[in-house]
Amino acid sequence: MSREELLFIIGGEQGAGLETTAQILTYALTSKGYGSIADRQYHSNIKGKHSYVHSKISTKTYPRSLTYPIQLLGCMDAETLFTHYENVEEGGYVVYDVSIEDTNIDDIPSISHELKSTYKKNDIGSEIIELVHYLEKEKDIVTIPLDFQAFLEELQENFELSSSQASRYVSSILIGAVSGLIGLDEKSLDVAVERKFKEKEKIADQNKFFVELISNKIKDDLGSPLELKKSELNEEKRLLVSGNDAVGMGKITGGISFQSYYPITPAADESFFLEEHGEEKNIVVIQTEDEIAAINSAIGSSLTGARSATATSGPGYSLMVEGIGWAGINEVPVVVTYYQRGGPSTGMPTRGGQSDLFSALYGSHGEISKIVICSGDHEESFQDAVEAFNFAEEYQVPVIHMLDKFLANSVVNMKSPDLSEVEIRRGDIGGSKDYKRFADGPVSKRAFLGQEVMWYTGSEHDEDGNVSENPGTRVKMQDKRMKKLELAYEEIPDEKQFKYFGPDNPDFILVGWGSVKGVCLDAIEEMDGAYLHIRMFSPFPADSVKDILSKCETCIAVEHTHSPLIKRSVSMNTGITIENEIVKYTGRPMFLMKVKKAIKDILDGDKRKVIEHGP
Amino acid sequence: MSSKTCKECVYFISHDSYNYMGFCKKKEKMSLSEHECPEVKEIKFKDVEEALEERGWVYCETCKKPIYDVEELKKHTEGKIVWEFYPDDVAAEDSPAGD
Repeated sequence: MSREELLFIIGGEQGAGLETTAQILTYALTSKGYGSIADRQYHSNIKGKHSYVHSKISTKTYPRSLTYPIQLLGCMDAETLFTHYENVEEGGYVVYDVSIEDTNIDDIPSISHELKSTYKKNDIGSEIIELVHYLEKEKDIVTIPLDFQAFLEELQENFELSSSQASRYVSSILIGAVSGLIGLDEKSLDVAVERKFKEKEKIADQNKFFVELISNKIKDDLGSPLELKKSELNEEKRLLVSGNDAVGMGKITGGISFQSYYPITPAADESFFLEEHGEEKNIVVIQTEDEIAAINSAIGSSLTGARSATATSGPGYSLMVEGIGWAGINEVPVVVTYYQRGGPSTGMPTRGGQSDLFSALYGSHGEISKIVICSGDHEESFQDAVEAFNFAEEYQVPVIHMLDKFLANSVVNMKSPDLSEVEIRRGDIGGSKDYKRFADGPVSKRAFLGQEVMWYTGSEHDEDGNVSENPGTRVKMQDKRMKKLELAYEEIPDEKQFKYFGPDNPDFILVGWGSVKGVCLDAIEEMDGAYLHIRMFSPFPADSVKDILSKCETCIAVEHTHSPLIKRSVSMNTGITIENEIVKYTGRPMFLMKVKKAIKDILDGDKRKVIEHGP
Repeated sequence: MSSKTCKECVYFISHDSYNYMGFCKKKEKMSLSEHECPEVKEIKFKDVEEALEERGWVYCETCKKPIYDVEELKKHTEGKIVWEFYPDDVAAEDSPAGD
């Protein structure tokens, strides 16, 4: 019987073909019209340690969250099987290379002591073959040993293998096996392989041959036991993008002229995207020597009238705060795209977290007006990337656009943005006779460097920009700058500040921001709850949030932190105390089955639920 | 015809992730560890010793351990000792930014 959805994991050594496998499979599946989400989990050592891609494919919806168990596990190495076997559903499928069967868990140095210890408590046996027998007998799991080397020999008989592409061939073995099991047709696979190896016809032909060879072998031997039904989704145009891509697309659409960055996970991919796609739009993308130079060059560029941004994550933002303060006192419209990861310090660079909200809100000395917006999914990431420039220029303030690692690195098929809805609003620009850069207000007319005479300084200044410590001038200028937030609060439409999902009188309200949006929406769909999604924290939509939360007895903060910042933010702005919380701070995303269980526990009387699931 | 395979040959460099494939330095092309080849030049202990002296390290692929001196090397006579790895050119494309 065909399936309506499929959850699977492909795992292997980082840098050894996993990305290629996931990209080709995801593209092939989405080109068939299926909805998909794929989360990439990787280690910060760059190459060698365990990585995996966790995917959900649906024939009926565009998935917003992931969950367990999975129905299929594809192993490029032994560590993948030792790490993920417990998450395979009874009756599920495991594909692996026969050559790993005698691998002993103790001989894999990259597996943590904790995992080894947990595994051994299950008394299964130390070798892969013992684990395979356990899965077959105790879990009714179908194990599929493939002789990777024999397949490669067969390929070698037909083609001269390219030594520079070796890991690609291993990728193709798994792609072939998975596509055989789920019944993917040859055409979809060909399109996906050609897309991946565009301009490398020979490599594409080899891999197409290889994928089809293995796919057909699986189909011949097993049929397609995980075959997906035909997609019931509309044929509307969808884009297969990561959060980084969505922001990059938004910035290009929003008219970016200058982006500076210093490479850092998980922000750098956005700048790489702009480097790749921005050239024909004359977008300047500069890798600076550090984040201090990145923010300061973006500020300088902005003063010339160019829409300017930088992108970073927590450690980089720490270096930028002095520059952001300078932008604040000089009313510079600059955008900082802030991708949160697991902190503090270096923390867990390639894992997720939402612990930097207050860093974005308050991470600069002195009082300045800055707008802080937070995206909850890929579509919001695109929209917010455009709006960040609009807000920055309309109010002449720094705008911090926050995302997190889960959003940055998860790949979904996003609805194609309606470009006719995109607005470019540049605020009040132009010079004048007797021009004063900081006259009137709260938002002054903005001329660009070279147009008029103007002064910029890190010190307090008068309307001309000349340094002044006069008490009256200080009050006037500080009032002018701070009033911008009141103006933004009044003028920015509600739907860009927050969004409420659910019935009028729910049993509970989940309160969240950022990437928890997807899992919260999926959770309330199956329970009689609501979700309050906060998109803007400065200015904070205090009246509306107060109004919504005061009507419900059970409010639950959901956040990737130890101590939810959203609870404190709501308390500070509304006086309401959110008494319940669901948190996760392992660096891994929240999974639907765990969030639903945590909600049930809270409705039964618990106040705090800590989720840890996920390898 | 020789029944020796590439994995026994001094010219064969294992792939850094998948040791069943590798690169033949003599033929300058990709090969497989079980591939039979008439030109196999078996690895001698002397070759390993020379590599150890020249580089200061060799690696036991069987035990997954680096070796830094001859005494240690003698404990790995059953192991497959290597001193070069073959990362393919596309590894970077499969390695997400992780700093």
